[in-house]
This record gives sequence, C-alpha cells and structure tokens, in this order.
Amino acid sequence: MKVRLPASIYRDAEIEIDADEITVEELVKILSEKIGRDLRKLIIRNGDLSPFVNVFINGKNVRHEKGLKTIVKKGDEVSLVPAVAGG
Amino acid sequence: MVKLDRSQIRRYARQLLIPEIGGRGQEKLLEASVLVVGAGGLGSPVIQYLAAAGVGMIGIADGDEVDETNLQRQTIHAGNLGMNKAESAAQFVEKLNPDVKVEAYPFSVTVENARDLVRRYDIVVDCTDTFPARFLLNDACLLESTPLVHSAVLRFEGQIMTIIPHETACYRCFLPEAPPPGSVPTCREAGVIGVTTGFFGVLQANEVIKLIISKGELFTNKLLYVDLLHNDFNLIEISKHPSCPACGERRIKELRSEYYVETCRIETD
Repeated sequence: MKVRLPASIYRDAEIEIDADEITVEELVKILSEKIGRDLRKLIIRNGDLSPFVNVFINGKNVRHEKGLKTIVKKGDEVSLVPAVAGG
Repeated sequence: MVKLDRSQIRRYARQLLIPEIGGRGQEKLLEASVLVVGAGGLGSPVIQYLAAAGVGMIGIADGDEVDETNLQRQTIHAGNLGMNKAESAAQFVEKLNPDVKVEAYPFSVTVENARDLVRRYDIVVDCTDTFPARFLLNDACLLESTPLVHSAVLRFEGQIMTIIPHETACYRCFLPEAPPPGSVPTCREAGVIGVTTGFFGVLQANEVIKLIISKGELFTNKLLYVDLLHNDFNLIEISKHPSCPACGERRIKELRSEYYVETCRIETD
C-alpha cells in the first residue's frame, strides 16, 4: 500500500508500506515508525479519528467508513488530507 | 431581464461564442450577484475573472489593509499600499469593467453580520484565511441556503470544494472541527506562492460561472486536493454526512459566537 503525505503534515513524500491487511490505526503506527515522527498525535484523538485530518483510502473518506478500524489492503492508495486555511 | 447592448456584445464576444454561455448565459452573468469574502490571494483572481466575465454585482468584504508582503500574490492591489483591501479591489473592478456594480464592505465578516451579508447575494466565495472565518461562512450559507465555493491553500498545495446547502456535503462534512490553534501552519508561518492562490482562485471563479449559467459539473460532494510542486491531483469523495454538526440530522439553527473560537466545535444541545 502507498501512503501519500502532504508537505503540510510531513515533508512531501510517498511511502510504501508492506502489509497485506491492516487497520488505519495500525497503518498510522507503522508509518510513524517508518518516518520517525509520531503521527498518532495528529491523526488520533481520544482513541478516535481526529476531526481535523482526513484519511482517504482509494479516494474514500474513512471517517464515513469505520474510522480508525477501517481496513487497508495491499495495493490500496492512502492519502492524508490535512486542514489548511490559507487564502 | 438584461438585454445586451452593442458594446456588451463586443466586450463579451469571445465568451458569447461558447455554446454553454451564449446570449442567455451572458444575461444570467450580468444579472447575478456574488459575495467574495477576502480580497487577498484567492480573492484577487476570483474578483478579477468574475468582473471580467461580466458578473453584474460583486460584493467584496475584507477588513485588512494592503501591505507590502501581500503583493507577491495579491495581484489586484497595485499602487494601493495602506488602503483597505475591499476598497482597493472595488477600484480595480471599476476600472476593469463598467458593467459591474461593486459594493465594498471594509470590515470582516462576523457572527453578527454574516447572515445579513450572505442573504444579499446569489453565491458566496470563501477566500478567507482562517478556520473560524471558513466555518462561519459555511454555517451562514447553510442557514441562508446560499451556494458556497470554498478553497484554501498553503505553500504549493490547496483544496477546493463547492457546497449546495442541504443538497451536497458541506465544509463541516469534510472537516467537523478546526485544528487546535498553532497545530497547523498558516501561510504567514509556512508560506504560499502566488501561483497556488492564482490556480485555486481561478478554479473558484470557474465554479461560480458554472453555477450561474447552470452548465457543466461542479466540485460538489468532492474535494480536489492538489500539490502543484509535484503535479499531484487528487479528487476525493466527500459525502454529506448524517452526523455532520452543521448540516446533518442535528443541524445548526443559528450562528453562535462560541462556534467560531479555537477549534470551532459545535456543541449539540
């Protein structure tokens, strides 16, 4: 699975994670270890998906699926879309 | 209905040739009214292209003054350092196209004035630069059933979505709350380049024109997120959500000042 991290969250990068089937929560943990920055503080709040970061799997918002328990499969594309406010 | 005179037929000749616009579409543009909130990086191209296309009435709200750090991206304020941005933008519009009536509101949109301002216009364009202002406009447009075209930018990145109140996903369906102050960088802290605001502002103007002429497709129930540094374009589905704090089953009934501080959370009663 491929994870796209925008510059406003982490220096712009596409990160490959080698796993067959994991939850979004597990993905965030593996991703944090891989980039050396704890993304859990940003993405998880009170055990749930934070209300100000959106996680999309193949263009679908996991907030409207099972949140952190949503399953990510091999070959899926995951995008993190942060809140930005500039104008 | 507005009838085009000879000089208007000449002025708009190139867009009158487009089948989706034509004479009827141009008349609709001349009859339309649009409120642009924020005359900065996004507002500059929005105001410029809507005025050029002949949108008949443009309201511009901005409480800030033009300063030197604005000029690398805010392209309509030449020679107006120190002037209020709404008034500077209005001056630009008057020079560009005499067909356009322009109303400058030299103050910020607030909980007290938002609904009254929004109510006077057919469409609102969110060109603001803070989370509270964005949530306020979203909620005011829902309450007044006024379409809203949202965009936000940072560095080389930006996003755009169009909201048809109660029909399509609203801004809070995408983002229920704002990040705690200080947790996400602003343009002042992390920077922005004029091409990013230009790119997204032009897309916003295009959404407004399509809304007015009722043609084409909109960024409704979807959000376009683009990283212009890597030419990475992502079109993401956003669903209208029953638990949305603004437009869901327990939708908001009024604007309250406590909804627009810190994380802009709506506490349901």
